Amino acid sequence: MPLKILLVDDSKVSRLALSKGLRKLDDSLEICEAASADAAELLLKEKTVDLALIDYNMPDRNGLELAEVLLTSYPDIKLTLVTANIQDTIRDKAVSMGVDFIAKPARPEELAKVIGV
Amino acid sequence: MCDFLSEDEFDLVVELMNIGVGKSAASLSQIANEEVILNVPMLEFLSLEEAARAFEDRLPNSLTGVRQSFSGFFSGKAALLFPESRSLDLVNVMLGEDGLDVEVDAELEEEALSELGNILLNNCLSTISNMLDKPLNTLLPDTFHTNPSLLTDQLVTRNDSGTVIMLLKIDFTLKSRDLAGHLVFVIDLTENGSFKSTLQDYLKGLEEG
Repeated sequence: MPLKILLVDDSKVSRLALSKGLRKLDDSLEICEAASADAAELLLKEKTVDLALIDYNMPDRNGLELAEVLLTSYPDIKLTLVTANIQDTIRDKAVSMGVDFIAKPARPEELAKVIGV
Repeated sequence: MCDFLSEDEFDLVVELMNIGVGKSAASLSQIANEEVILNVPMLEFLSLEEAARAFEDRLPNSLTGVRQSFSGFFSGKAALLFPESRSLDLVNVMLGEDGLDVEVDAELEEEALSELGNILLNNCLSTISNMLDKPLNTLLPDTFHTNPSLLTDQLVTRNDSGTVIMLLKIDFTLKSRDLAGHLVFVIDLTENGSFKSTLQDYLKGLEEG
């Protein structure tokens, strides 16, 4: 079964770059995208995913606010925050919630670890 | 040195910015897959009129940029600026040139600039925040097109005659692409009560070991 991944980022370029990086590691991945926290929640009502890579700085709700909702509603989805906002306070909060943390730009080896290849 | 900072505080600001921009340069190098050459930072304390003249003297005409507001122990705006004619190169920097299955249009160029600014400015500001152990709030970046004579108005939040800004400008170059960019930080010192005390606390911590 191919791994199903949701990318949540308001930047189209960031989603393209992440998607490209992930497919280089495993071209069988099923990747879907959402441009906001709201869009991600809507999408998850119709699709199941194994893993969500979530940006932090987004309009309306930040990535950790979305993660908080997803941890309750979809506890089986593995969550990773992918952000350029590498302040320790944000990293520490993510880790305390059980959310993995990757600094942007994401390194291939970090993405490989997240998808288990 | 200047009316606002002691020599040690001034040195600390330059060092913090060096480290912060160094982190940004490392990220840019990773994205572009090539070496980034950083110039020595230029840190000055200027009136708005002096800042406007500095921009006109030292920046190319027709700039495209992304700016980001930040607030906390220091507040202001940071901007990443490139010559407008090179915006297509930024898409290639961000996404690579090896067969992307998307049409490159003006919207994608803006998105590429915005995301590049998001990464470089946030990396730099976050690194400084981590070093001083003080949180910073950053707003979402926005792209803009300008020329140097208008830049002061676009980066300064207050515009009165008593305003003194800390202007930090660092130029960087992606050598093989012959692409030069500029990082500019504009901090309104007359509005930043805790900036100086944060620097003093950090220096005190160093002295105490």
